[in-house]
This record gives sequence, C-alpha cells and structure tokens, in this order.
Amino acid sequence: MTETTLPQPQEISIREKEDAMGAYLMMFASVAVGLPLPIINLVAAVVYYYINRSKSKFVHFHSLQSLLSQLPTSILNGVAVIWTVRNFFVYDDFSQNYWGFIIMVGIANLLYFIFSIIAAYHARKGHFYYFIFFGKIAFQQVYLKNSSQESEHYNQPPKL
Amino acid sequence: MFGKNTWRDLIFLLAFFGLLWFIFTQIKFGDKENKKKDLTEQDQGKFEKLIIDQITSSSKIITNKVVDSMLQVIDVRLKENDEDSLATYTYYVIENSEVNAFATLGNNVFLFTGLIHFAENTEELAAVIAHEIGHIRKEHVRNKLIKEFGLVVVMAIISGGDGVLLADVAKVLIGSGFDRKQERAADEFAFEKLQKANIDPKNMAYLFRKLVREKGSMDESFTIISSHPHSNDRIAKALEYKLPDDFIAKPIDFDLNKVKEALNEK
Repeated sequence: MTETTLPQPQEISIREKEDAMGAYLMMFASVAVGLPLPIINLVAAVVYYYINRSKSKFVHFHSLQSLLSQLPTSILNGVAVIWTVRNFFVYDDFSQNYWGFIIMVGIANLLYFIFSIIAAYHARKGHFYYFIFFGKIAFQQVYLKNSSQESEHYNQPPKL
Repeated sequence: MFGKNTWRDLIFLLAFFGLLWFIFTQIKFGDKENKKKDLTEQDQGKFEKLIIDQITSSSKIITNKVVDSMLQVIDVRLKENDEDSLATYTYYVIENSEVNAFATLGNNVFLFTGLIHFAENTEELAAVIAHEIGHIRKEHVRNKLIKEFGLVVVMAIISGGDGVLLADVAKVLIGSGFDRKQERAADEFAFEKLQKANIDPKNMAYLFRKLVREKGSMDESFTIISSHPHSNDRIAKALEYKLPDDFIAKPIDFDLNKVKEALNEK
C-alpha cells in the first residue's frame, strides 16, 4: 500500500473545513424534517455528497463518511417505521422482538448523533476523524482509490 | 476489498447492535407480570363474586331448563379430548337483545339472549363460548381490569365493594372489547378447542360474517367482534384454520330452535 500524505489542519482552507462540518450538521436539519420518513435524510445526504465531493479530498472524505454512516441508520429507522405502522394497522404484534428492536434503533440513532457532533467539531478544526468502519471505508474510497487512479497515465503521446 | 481492521470493525458493529437487540428482547416491558402477582387468588375470588353480584342484580338472568341443558351439552362437548376438561365453567344468559357475550373473572361466561336468537345453530354458539373461555384461560379479563382501573382501585373495590365503581367494572366487562392481540389469542384458543371437540372452527367465521353483514353499522356495540378493520382478518383466520386430514365435524346434538322457542315463551 502506498504511503498517503494527508493535508494538515493549517493547509486546509476555512471554506473546506466548513463544508466538511456541514456534511454532519446538515443531517440534523434533514432529520428534523424527515424523522417519520427516514428516506428524506438519505436523499439529502446523497445530494450533499455529490455537490461537495469534487471540492477537495478533505471535504469528500467527510461527506462520504457522513453519508455511509447515515445509510445503516436510515435502513434501521425505515424498518422501525414500517414495523410500527404494520403493528398499528395490520397486525397488533408489539412483541418483545419489536420493543428490543425499537430500543436498539434508538441507541443507534443516539450514537449516530453523538458521533456526528464530534466529527463535525473535528472537521471544523481541520482534523480527520474516523468513525468505526465507515471512516476506514470513506478513507479508502477517497484517498486510496483515487490515488491509484491518479497514478495512471491517461495522457499518452501518439504512437509514431 | 476491505482491510483486516475494516472487517473487524464491521463484525464489531454487527455484533454490538445484534447483542443490543437481543438484550432488549429479553427484558419484559411494562409491569404486567408484577401486577398479576399482586392480585392474590383470594382477592380475585372476592372480586369475582362482587362482579357477578353486580351483573346479576342489574340484569335479568334467564333461568330456563331448555337453555341450561343446551349450555350443559355445549360445555360437555367443548371439554371432549381437552386437558381443560377439569375446569368448571358457569354460564349465565342475560335477557338482552344485543348480540353479545363476555367473560368475567373466574370461570364465568355470560351470553345475551340476542346472541342465541342470532346464531344459526348450536355450533356457532359453541364457537363464541370457546372464544370467551379463551379470554378466561389467557387471563385477559384480569389484565384488562387492572389495566383499565389500576391495581390500587381494584384493591379498593375488593375491600370496599363500592357500588358505583363496581357498576363501572361491569360496564367495562360488558361493553368494551379486548385489544386485537388478545382477541386473536382467544380466537386461536377457540379454534384449537373446537377442533378437539370435533366442531368446525368455520362456525365462528359464519357467525362473525353474519354479524358484520347484518349489524355492521352498529359494530361498536358488539364486543365479540369489535375493531372492525380487524373483523375481516378474524373471519379469514377462522376460515383458513388448518384442520387435520382426519378431522370430521360432528354436529352438536341439540336443536337451537327449541331454545329460541323457550326464550320466546318466556
């Protein structure tokens, strides 16, 4: 694996830091709108990611990390909403499994919120802050994948 | 694709949240269980007597040999091939044109004359009785009263025998159904009991279907098939109940018309 040189906080512009922080903070605004429909958060996260990913690798990394960590949370919330609606309108099955799942989803959301705030703080400071699992995937996607692409020599002289 | 540490993280996350789900699945929510323990058998016995006295004093109870023999025949039949056969149930028939039946604390089942007139045959009545026995066996009545009134009020009623509150208790027992989960559990209990007694559980569907069709607009007052969006589901469940291949339905040897005539003579 090639050595990757990461930009240090003083080398990152304030604009980039704010955009990176925005990737996490934007989630809170969308959560407020989309709580009953978790898909709205996901759409907002995808849109934010596609707008910001070309800005810089630092912003790209934080947007992707935010988006990736949003994915399982949204899926869990979606399942919780569907299960609840189904219980209310179709089968009255508020079982132990259901309540266990709802509490687990609540804890997952709480952890997601806490770690998003921490990540937003670090992003504003120009730090790389890695979430468990998602941080590694985002880093791999942004730095390792792209650096290998960059090393390819696209522009070639004509074959004479 | 992933590095070793990334896989480790993924496994950790899945295990962590899976374990959380499992742990919270094991915890019993609500204090239903504790509340059950607080109401002793003695308390229950007193409460049962107070309720029965309240209902029997405020309603006209029919005492008729033909009606009693029919209930006896149904009772014996429902106990066939059933481990529940040692239980003794007391049946009361109330003079009331509503199509209704309900269970109270203890092993007491109340039927309205309206229900007897409405039923097509004895098997349909047996299906309703089996359903009410389901509520008794699953302790729905006790749980409902405690949920509705709270243990403190229930205990106060037991010790003081307050007439106003007792009337309220009777009203709740007669006029309000159980939640859908409890109705479904009582239905399932009834299907099994009917099957053991060689009575086709479809009889319950026939009665409920007729009830929805003919009295659908007044649905709220029929606690035996309350919560209407759910009634079709309950009918479907009765129709779909899987009977063993060797199941043969045996009719109950009692002519319901005789009972209806006896009630009309009264």
